[in-house]
Amino acid sequence: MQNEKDLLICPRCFMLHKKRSLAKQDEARCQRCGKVLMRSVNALEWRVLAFSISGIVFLLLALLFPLVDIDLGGIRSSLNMVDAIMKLWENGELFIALFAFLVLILFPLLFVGSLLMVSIAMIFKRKRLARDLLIFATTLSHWSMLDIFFVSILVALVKIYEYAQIRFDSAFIALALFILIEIYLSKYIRLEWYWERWEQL
Amino acid sequence: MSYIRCNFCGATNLRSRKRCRRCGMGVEIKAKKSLQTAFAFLIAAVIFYIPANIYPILETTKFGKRQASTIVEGVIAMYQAGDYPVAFIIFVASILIPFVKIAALFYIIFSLWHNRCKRLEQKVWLYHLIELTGPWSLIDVFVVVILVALIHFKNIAIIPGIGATSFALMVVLTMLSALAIDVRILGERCER
Repeated sequence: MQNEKDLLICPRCFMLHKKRSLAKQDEARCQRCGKVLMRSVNALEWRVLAFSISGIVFLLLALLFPLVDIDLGGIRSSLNMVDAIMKLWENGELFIALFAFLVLILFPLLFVGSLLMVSIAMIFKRKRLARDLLIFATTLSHWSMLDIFFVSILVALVKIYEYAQIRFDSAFIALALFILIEIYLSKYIRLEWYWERWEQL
Repeated sequence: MSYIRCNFCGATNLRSRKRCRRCGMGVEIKAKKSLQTAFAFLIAAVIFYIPANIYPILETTKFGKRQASTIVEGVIAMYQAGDYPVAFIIFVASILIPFVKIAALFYIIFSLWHNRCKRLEQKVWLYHLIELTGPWSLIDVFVVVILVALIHFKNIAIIPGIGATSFALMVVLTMLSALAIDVRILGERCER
């Protein structure tokens, strides 16, 4: 019988594979369904450290500064995420306000924040701490929805572009960059591979 | 198969283990519990699906004149205004995906419950498609959030309707239902 650590089960078609060591930039795919099973990421923890720090900076910028300014026949207004959620709360839309706060502010911050801590814990070889943080990050990974919010901004602007002049503000770019970083950190590098790396510590 | 994949961290475990050797989460397949939980969430989602489509998602007051529009009316308005690409996005995200998702979840839960092994690969593919596209239905809810924040002038006021809350709840409930389904049941019972 093989050691469990050397085996890999395809998440899509459940075929059992034997792990192989990968060269730089290599990918391993499932024999049956072609799903990417492993990807070699050089110095994973240092990459994650760098990307998650910049992710948090961009996210804070995106949260604190206006995303879009509109001019509706001389009356100006701007979209700021924190203000938008506060306004919903004041209007008595408690559920939507709370939901938006969780999936647009708290969970993205905690998710990228916990990946930052994971990378630090892995660099200092604190295995126990890294494991607990990875469990936290894995749980949160489904509930960060800023990418959906980004598309929603574009859709909302299409609804009003006939009446209003629209100008994208600085935070819009910060939000776009944060989303790219989040995709890199959680889709390009799958969370499974953090666990693989953790095992090798 | 004498090995099992941990749903949480993806580690390969010996069948005899109760907890994952890597992340410590439970790795046993609890088919009955998983399907019942998923079914309960799905029924709750169906209940919220009704007000989500009947009640307005957005209420606009222009110079004292109130106008409310449901999701379907919103798509029709966009189509009539000639914004075809956006009408298409909203149609797919808020009408097509939720409907297909609920139907697909019923199908998957039902066929797992009855141990149907036909079209196994398609079912797994369908499950992953649901998981991937599910949260994108929230576009409409976020659009409401954005419009409420952007448009607050003396004569024009926009407020979210009951439909928006129900719709958001419906989407979250279908996500929870999909998360509750243990896809390994498919591989487990039907492995040749």
